[in-house]
Amino acid sequence: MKLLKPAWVTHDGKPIFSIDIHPDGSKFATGGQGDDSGRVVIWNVAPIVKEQAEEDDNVPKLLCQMDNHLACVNCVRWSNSGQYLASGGDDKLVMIWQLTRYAGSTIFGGGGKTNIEHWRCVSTLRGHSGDVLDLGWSPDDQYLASSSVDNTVRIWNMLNMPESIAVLKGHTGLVKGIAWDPIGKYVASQSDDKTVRVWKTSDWKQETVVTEPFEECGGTTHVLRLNWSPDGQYLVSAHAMNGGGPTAQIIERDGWKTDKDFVGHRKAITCVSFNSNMLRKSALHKGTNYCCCAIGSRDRSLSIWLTSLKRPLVVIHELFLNSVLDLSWSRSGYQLMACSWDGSVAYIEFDDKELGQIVSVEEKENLFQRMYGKKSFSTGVDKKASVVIEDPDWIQPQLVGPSVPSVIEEDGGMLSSDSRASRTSQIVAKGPTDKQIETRTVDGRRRITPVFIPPLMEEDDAQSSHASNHSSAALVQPTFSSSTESRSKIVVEKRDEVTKPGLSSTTSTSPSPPQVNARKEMSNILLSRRLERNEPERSVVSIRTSGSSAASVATTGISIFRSPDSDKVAIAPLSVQKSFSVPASCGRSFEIENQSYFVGHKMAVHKLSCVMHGKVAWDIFLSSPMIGCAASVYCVAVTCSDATLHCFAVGDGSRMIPGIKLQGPAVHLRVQDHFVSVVTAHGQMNVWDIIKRKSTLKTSILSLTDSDGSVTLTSCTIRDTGLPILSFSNSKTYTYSTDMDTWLLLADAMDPLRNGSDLQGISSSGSFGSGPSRSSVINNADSKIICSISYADLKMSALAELNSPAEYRTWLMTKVKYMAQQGMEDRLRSLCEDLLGPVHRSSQRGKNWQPTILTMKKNDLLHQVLQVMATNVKMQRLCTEFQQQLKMLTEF
Amino acid sequence: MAKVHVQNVVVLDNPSNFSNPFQFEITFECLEDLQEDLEWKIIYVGSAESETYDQVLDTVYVGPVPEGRHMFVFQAEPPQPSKIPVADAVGVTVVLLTCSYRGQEFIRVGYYVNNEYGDAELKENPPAVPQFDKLMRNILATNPRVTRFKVDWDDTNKSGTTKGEQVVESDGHQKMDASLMESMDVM
Repeated sequence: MKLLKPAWVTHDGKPIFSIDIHPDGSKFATGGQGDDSGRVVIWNVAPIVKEQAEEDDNVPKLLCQMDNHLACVNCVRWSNSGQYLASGGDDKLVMIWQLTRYAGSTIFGGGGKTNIEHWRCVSTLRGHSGDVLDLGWSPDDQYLASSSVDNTVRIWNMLNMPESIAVLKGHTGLVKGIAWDPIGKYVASQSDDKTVRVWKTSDWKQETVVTEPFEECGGTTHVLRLNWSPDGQYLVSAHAMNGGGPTAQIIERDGWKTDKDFVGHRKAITCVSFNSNMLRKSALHKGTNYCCCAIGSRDRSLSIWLTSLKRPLVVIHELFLNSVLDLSWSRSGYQLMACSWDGSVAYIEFDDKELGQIVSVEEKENLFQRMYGKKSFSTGVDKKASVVIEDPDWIQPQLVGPSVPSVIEEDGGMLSSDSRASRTSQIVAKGPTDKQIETRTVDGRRRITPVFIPPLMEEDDAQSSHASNHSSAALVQPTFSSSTESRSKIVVEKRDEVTKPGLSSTTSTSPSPPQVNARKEMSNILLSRRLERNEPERSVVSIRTSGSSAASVATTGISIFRSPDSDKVAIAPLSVQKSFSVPASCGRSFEIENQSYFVGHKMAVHKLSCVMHGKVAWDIFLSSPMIGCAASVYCVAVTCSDATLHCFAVGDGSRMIPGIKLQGPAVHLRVQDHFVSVVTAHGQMNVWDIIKRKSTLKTSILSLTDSDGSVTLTSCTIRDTGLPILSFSNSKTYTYSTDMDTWLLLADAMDPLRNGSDLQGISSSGSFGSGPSRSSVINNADSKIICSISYADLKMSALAELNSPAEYRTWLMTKVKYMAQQGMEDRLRSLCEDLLGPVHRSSQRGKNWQPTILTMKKNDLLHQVLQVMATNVKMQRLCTEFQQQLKMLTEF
Repeated sequence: MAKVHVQNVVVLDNPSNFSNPFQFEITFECLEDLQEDLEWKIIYVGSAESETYDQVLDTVYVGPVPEGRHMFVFQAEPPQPSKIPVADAVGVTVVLLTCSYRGQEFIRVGYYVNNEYGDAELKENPPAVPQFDKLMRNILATNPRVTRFKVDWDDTNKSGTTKGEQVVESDGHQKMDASLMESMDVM
């Protein structure tokens, strides 16, 4: 265990009421008193962890100081996603902060302190009529709970700031602590009224009130920050009493029983904080998980407990000169920070020998699934959290990008669209941007319309902040003044106009309607997307090769089976009918009349007629009764009962080739362009190119069917390579690869992958028009997406084999869409790299790289892929990277 | 919470002749659209002894102020020498930049100003009657003293709060001026 009290983390000696480590572990926030205001400070963690960084002047210590609260700040809390910081204080306000991209600037009048990061107040939550003492984000970041000396807890809708959706009334004293159940079912509060109340998040009604352990308590603490164990089983209160001594009461989720507590502190307990990780002694001790809890007290000491031990792991006495006020564990689980009324903070680092091994997220999820039948909310956070757009270009694809119904989540969507809309509005210049305009008011005084400085877009929250880049400190240019400049760059335009003061009198600026429109537009888009999603499915997946000319088959549903006792194949051959007719294209039809003309005793000839628009174009006679007929625009083929095949030109009925002798009676005949395919009763399949007089395929289809004859051939299509695509009644579709000398499975409508995916509704027509099906079998959204990706992949490989560029592209985009949605950056990167090709021609990879796929230029595809990726803002960096490379490639 | 935050002030044309106008380039951020104009003032403290020698060099209304960052140059004529006590003409004094909303001052930025003769001989033996045309003005731009006051930013004047805040305001003034003057003695 390492213990450090960084002297430079200070609010100029004034009390620090709250501390919270950012989820990414790179920074932490403190809240407390400022000079004559409340103060929130964001600090860099690196100089605390590493001495080297502390001594390096290029590593900033203070990242941002916000003196915006009018009075003391009692609580600072990062959202689980790390995107927002919430602060609440004696000014009754809760402020929500977000990182923006303004370059670092000197804190004006701050005695030379420089803000490395710029955090901007994006929303102010007003409603409490008294000081705000504690805050808590719900596990999914959807809600923020605030507790106040006005005896209430307020629940705020963080997807629609600053909406207050509930006021939890019931406490009769100052509410000094808030804790969310990690499952998201409850929120608990502790108050000076000597109660802990648990509220249900479903209806915000009180679930229970616990009073017994608090009966002897006096209101001696500034805060009562209770906390919930990471497995959700225990709620641990702050100040409680047992046998005259101060304790932290353990309240069990099961029946809200109160028969255990943490004993040992000599004065009231102010704050309790669980490590958000579950732990175990070592990898060998599977199943024996425990939790770790830090407790801070007015007795100036800090104790760390493992739920597997009866005594505390460690007690640190005299850590501070005054009451401990807040505790925060890092997400990684081995770092703890505490702050005190004495104005200092403490940093404690543990190792895995002391605390134990961290139970993996997956295991924790499984545990949650077992215990509560659902996963914790926290895992969904990443997806739901709205991401910030870094580049103005991004707004375009966001607004009009290829419709991606499923990218925006039902509830998270509102947030991102709203914030997006408001960002859009920010770019609108609200005043002159190049000059200040000077006029006179009615009473003759000077009035200046200032230069509007268009803001930069907000920066992505966590990754891109200062910490990753030490040199950034050097980049920060103190904007603070010096007198060297003799002249401002601002142009002063004096106008001989008389203006009335006030915002309404604007003469030169455009008012705000654009932002209203943007917002409206967004919600319309969103609405229409929702509607689309509820539309019924329109089409089913089917494999069709493009450009196939019309053709017809005499038979449907051919049954091929092997008799169980022998290897001999028994396929019911086509039966001889007296007469039948086969419609064909261009108004033609072919009529067959067996035994139409008797030429002798029991000797008959059989007639094939081509009928065009009701008139007979030609007649021919054949010697054997015809059992099947099929035609294309070139060629009509008939099979006869003597196992022969005859082909005639459609135009005049002339025979194209002599009769082909088949190995057995035909069961399936298909003509397409100049290809004729036949399946015989023996399961033999032949395809001939009639014009070239070549065989393109000769193989058996027996392997594609099963032995009991339940699988029947339902359709056959011949591709322009002369190879067939066969569909069977078991929903499988195959094609043959002569290169590989085998049948390839193209599609399987019953494929569990497909059913597990979102893509049942995707049509092969190449549009994303139909939305994903709601009737999915797989409930787990993640697996579903993986399924969808795998299925799209399957499709792509099939379509590559089929040489169908348009559909290939469709499925590629589908795959990219899902991968982008899932944030699979690595897979996307490798996909993009392949599409981009080698940037340096000499590179090793370049030799095997094909610039095209299925006749499509890979770089063009990449362009489209990037557009699809652009629909997920999180991919913007990747996108930008490849866009630039693509641009470079096209320029040279 | 204050709706307007002054982010930076750049002192232009400094040092310069006593008779040149004051120029400040002010950058501020506004968190919400303001219904009314901001009122900026430059006040020259003629004498540390008494506020009666304060000269308001200029007042300017700045508006409209929508949400966002803004900047402008505030230029004001130099103080009138006739209103400055002879004893205070040369030496260190203060210039104040203040901003008010709805008549309530919410920020005050103070700079030390040093007036001295450019001419070495005059510096050695200052004339009994100040020669203002030979005075050089140097504003200590790198060390502004910023004092912020709570004001009521809302449209509706809530009773009670305004009163309390005015008390704070006047306290703040005194503190500010006192601290500036104290430091002046040191200089």
